[in-house]
Amino acid sequence: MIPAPTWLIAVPLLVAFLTPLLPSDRVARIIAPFIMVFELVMAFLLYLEVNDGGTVVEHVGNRAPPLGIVLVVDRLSAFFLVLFGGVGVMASVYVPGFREANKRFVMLFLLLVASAMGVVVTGDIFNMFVFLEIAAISSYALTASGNEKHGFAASLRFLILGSVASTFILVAIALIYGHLGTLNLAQIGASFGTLPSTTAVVILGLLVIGLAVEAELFPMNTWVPDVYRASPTPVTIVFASMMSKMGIYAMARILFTVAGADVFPWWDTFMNILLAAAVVTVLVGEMGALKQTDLKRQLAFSSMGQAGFIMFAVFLHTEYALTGALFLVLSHTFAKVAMFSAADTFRGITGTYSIEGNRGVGRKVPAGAAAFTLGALSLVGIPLLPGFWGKVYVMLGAMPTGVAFTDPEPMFRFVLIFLVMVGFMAEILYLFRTITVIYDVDGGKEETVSSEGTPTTDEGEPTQFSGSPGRSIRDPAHVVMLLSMTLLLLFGLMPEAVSDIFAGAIADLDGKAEYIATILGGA
Amino acid sequence: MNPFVLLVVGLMTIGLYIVLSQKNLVKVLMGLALMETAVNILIVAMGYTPGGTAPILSDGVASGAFVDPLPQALVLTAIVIGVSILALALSLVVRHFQATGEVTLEYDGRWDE
Repeated sequence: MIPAPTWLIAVPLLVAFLTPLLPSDRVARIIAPFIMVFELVMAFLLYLEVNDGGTVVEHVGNRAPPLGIVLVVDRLSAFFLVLFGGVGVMASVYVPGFREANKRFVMLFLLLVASAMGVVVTGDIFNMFVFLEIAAISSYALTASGNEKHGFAASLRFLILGSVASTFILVAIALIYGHLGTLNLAQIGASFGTLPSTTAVVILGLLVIGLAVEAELFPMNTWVPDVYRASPTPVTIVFASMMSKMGIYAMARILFTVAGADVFPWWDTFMNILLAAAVVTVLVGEMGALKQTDLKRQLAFSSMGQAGFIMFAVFLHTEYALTGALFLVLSHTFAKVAMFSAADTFRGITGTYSIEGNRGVGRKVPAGAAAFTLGALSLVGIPLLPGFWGKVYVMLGAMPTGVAFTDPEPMFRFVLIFLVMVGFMAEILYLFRTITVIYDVDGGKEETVSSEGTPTTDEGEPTQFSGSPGRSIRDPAHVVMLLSMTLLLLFGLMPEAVSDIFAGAIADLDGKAEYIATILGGA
Repeated sequence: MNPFVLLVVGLMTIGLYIVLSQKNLVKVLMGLALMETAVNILIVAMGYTPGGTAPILSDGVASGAFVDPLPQALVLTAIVIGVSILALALSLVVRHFQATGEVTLEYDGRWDE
């Protein structure tokens, strides 16, 4: 029992609170990647243990549930832990070379990762709320750390929305405690069916609205483009690849493992509303991305669209759709790591994130352009990349089976599928348009004049990578891009191996009875 | 229980209305603080037993006449979180004002000058 879930949270938290005591900012920056590697290794060991011996349940402080807090790692959470560990390592590779990162930045970064891990492993709803809040507070502060003129406005918009959402979650928790007298997720699940159906709907609705901020579900996602744009690249990577997945994970856990399908009569209507919200998210994201002139904002809108599509798949809640959702999680996570890193290397050369300003930059940063292209191909779903398998599976899962075409229910489904397809068209359009701009050969010559000077931020300070131009192999972005490209190809080429892992994860998502028995039975 | 619910719903509505209607960031944050207070009252009300005393074991107090201590512990956490968010928000407002000279969130949305 050496790899215990507590370590995942305790170690980064402890180091985070000790960083202010470190002698210099440089030491703090160098420590960050080591902690992330520790997290990844720990997550992987936990994953192996869960795979062999079933769900790991840890009683924090040796107090058994329902009195004590439990940490639970099943196959679904283990998958997300390893994923988050990987993203954490890739994002932290940037930190040592990131001159603006002082001790406080490293502290907040570690807090963010620790709390994302905490949300995934916790088996207690108030504990989950606390971790969500830690994640939220550190992300507000990290957004403002980007030294952008509008960073504070972006951060405030995020903060106001996030705080309203967190009061909703708190109201839901108060209602749960008032009616069921427990905060333990398994116990809530065991007695959720006894709630009056109105109360159950209100509770689930409040929780979904609250989690929608992190999961980027419409209409709680207005913060996304500005916050992604304002944050420094390592933080943007964590937002896109870790935070949104954390929100979606928490939502799925609460909807399907804790509440479970058909806990109240209007379950189908409830899910249909959520499906519609997810589809609107796809449309808002993909259509919004079409008219963006800023690369990072375009990628932010695209993240929103992808998150919407993942939620569409999760809310469909069929075996195929969930497999597809997990493929999409893989695809989006590593594609966005690659693409945001690429955007960073572009800015290292041209000094701007604007798409036109980066015309022809592909010739100067071939690796960046390749990473961007591969990521984009996976997002739009080109075969042999994980995004392709994701889209295929989700579409297979979305098709209603065994019903007449004219029934209202399948008609609704077909309308949704059609709208999602429209979103895909927009996605293909803007991603390929951006790729052509990046590779534009003639435009490259015009740009050389403006690209000669040292790239600077808005404040006129040198950017983080001005010392090492994009081509140097020591440039951390290249390590990150190479890693994420390799992973994308690997997962795309071995769909069977990955879908075995997914089958276990999905079984655990739906295994409500087993979840309750494992946690409470061991008590 | 009823008067509590009325109070909570009232405060929550006022807070949410302020957050949605006001442009001045300091006022928006006041609305947020009101909402947080409303939720905190709700949580404490959930654990209230009519006629109950503080849940401290001592002579002369019959067991069972206690209010539920857990919501009070939860509220303590919630208050701390609320205060830290408010402090962070106010410092962000100051920095936003220093950077742009405004206390509202209206800007043209352009990032690359």
